[in-house]
Amino acid sequence: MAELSITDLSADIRAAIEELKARPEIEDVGVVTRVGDGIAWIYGLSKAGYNEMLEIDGLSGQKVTAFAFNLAQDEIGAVILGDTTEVRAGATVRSSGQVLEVPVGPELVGRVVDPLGNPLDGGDPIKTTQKSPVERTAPGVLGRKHVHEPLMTGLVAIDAMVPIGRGQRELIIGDRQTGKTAIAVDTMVNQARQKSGVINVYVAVGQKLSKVAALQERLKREGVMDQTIIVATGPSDPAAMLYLAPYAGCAMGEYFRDNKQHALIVYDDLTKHAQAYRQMSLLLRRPPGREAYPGDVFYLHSRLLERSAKLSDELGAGSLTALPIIETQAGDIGAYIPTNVISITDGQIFLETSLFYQGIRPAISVGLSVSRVGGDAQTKAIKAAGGGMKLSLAQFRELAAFSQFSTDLDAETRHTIERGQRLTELLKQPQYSPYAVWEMYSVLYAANNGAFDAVPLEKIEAAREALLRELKAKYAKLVEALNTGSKPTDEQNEQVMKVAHMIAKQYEIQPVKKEAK
Amino acid sequence: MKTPRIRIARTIASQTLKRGSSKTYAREVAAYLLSEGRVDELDSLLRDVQADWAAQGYVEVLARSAHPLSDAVKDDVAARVRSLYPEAARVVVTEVLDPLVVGGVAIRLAEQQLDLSVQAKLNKFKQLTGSKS
Ligand SMILES: Nc1ncnc2c1ncn2[C@@H]1O[C@H](COP(=O)(O)OP(=O)(O)O)[C@@H](O)[C@H]1O
Ligand SMILES: [Mg+2]
Repeated sequence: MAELSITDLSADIRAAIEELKARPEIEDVGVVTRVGDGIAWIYGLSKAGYNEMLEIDGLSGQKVTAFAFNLAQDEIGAVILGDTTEVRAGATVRSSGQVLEVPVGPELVGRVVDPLGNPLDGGDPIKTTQKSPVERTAPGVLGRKHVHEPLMTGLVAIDAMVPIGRGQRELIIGDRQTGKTAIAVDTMVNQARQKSGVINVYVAVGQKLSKVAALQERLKREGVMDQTIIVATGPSDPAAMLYLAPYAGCAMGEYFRDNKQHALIVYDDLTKHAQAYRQMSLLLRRPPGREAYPGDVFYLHSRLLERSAKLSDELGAGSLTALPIIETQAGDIGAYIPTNVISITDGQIFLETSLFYQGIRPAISVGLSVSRVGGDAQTKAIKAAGGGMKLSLAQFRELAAFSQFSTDLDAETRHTIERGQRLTELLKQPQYSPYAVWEMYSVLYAANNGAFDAVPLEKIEAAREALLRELKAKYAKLVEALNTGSKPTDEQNEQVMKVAHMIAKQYEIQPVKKEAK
Repeated sequence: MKTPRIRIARTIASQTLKRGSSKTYAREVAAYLLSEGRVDELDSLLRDVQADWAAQGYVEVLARSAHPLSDAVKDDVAARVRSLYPEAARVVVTEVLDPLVVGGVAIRLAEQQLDLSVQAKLNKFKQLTGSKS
């Protein structure tokens, strides 16, 4: 190298200053002034917009992508998406005039990708013909239709008591290890089992990649991966990637919504997403507010969830249903992020640790779970069989608590409690075993009409399975009819009861006379 | 939270000592000064850099004269500077041609960094070389 000389250095710096100052196109070209924590601060580029993609000249000649995140008076904070070690102060930055886009389309189905659409599953590069901005405005009121088609989870407790419709946003909320992910995964599994045609998009925010790989493996085994896209980010990925993941996944889901199809998107979970956003905001020196979250954290999730919708017929009648997940601490749904997301969504499924440990799984709190729009979308048969169940179960849980203090219960109370206990048993459901409509209906109808009243609690689950086996084996016609979801006829109901009584008999300790209702 | 100039200088000095100077690096510095609005500190900054180089064993002497110096004069200047900086790993004499220097040669070191004893020696040195600086 040439001898180091202060005169040369001086001349070079002066020349560079003149050149930078004299740039006529400073609006479209900027220069990196500082780099750190995955953020590049940029001077110039005065016309760049929020989320605009920027191209930084990397050290070894290639372009590094960043997106404008903080637009200040005279500088831009941009989040570097590529190799940060390639970015140095002094590097030239060009704006692309485009907001950040990700590949979308059917080519992504069956794949595990990062938020930029790069494969993580070791498979071939993904070539889509389309790209879509990660941030898009949600369809307006005129572009939407009210939620009216069911999105069946296959979980009896949910489909009967907190039904979800296509285009709805139903929050799954609970402490860690309460089965939140399990509910979302079962719902995805059910889309394959029932051949609903709904495409699943599962967004893993900062989850261990081994966990994601295990999920992919399981979904493959269950035959679900063929209609699923997994967008994965790990705990060691930059906060920016975790921040982007839900928006990227949403763009991928919107493709189906906008092409007359139906998609389901799971955000697992938005608590980690908010934390990633908080971290980014602190690095970008945004003023922190409550719980150190920046003031616009509400908007972070509202603009994301707004994009889930049931589209009007003019727009093709497609839908994007969202199941965001929020992890609470000690059941506290009053914390900042839970309160925000509860207020944005159309209802919530609240999971309780105590129920989970009592073996009541899915551990759904009947009293605290609601679906504000799903009622219109509920399958008629399920609505008929499950009507009133939520109320009586809630009543039962209250009575059950009370009965602990009271020894002499009147007959009616005892009856309510025993029904409730049986219903609770019937609603238990193992993972990866979603029910078809006919299965749900038969079980609910038989139980509500007392078919299992004399079966001991510990044998309820076995009796339920036996009933379903019997119906499936010998009553194909009935099964087919029930599975359409239309309101069953009296004749069909009688048939169900006949089989149920016959099965129940086999599980009763001693034949008891049916109590008159 | 303005970064002290001395810290900026130290960074530039060690960066250039490690990697040498380059147009790209000069651009980085330029961009930084522009964005921080500190372009007018450049002269002082460069003096600090030169001083920092010296402190780290790289002594550059700017010899300003109207005519190219003979090798003998250059060697002489270098030898004298070396006696001021016995610890210096390298002493470099950089010639700057400047018709405004009427006669002799004007020597400039990064004075700021010199401690008193060296300063004293320097004064003597100035007399010896007949410098105006
Ligand atoms: N319905 C269920 N029946 C039995 N085990 C379940 C059920 N749902 C979840 N689990 C188990 O409980 C554990 C926690 O479930 P998970 O869905 O990972 O919880 P979370 O996402 O709330 O942290 C897992 O080991 C899972 O297999
Ligand atoms: Mg989970």
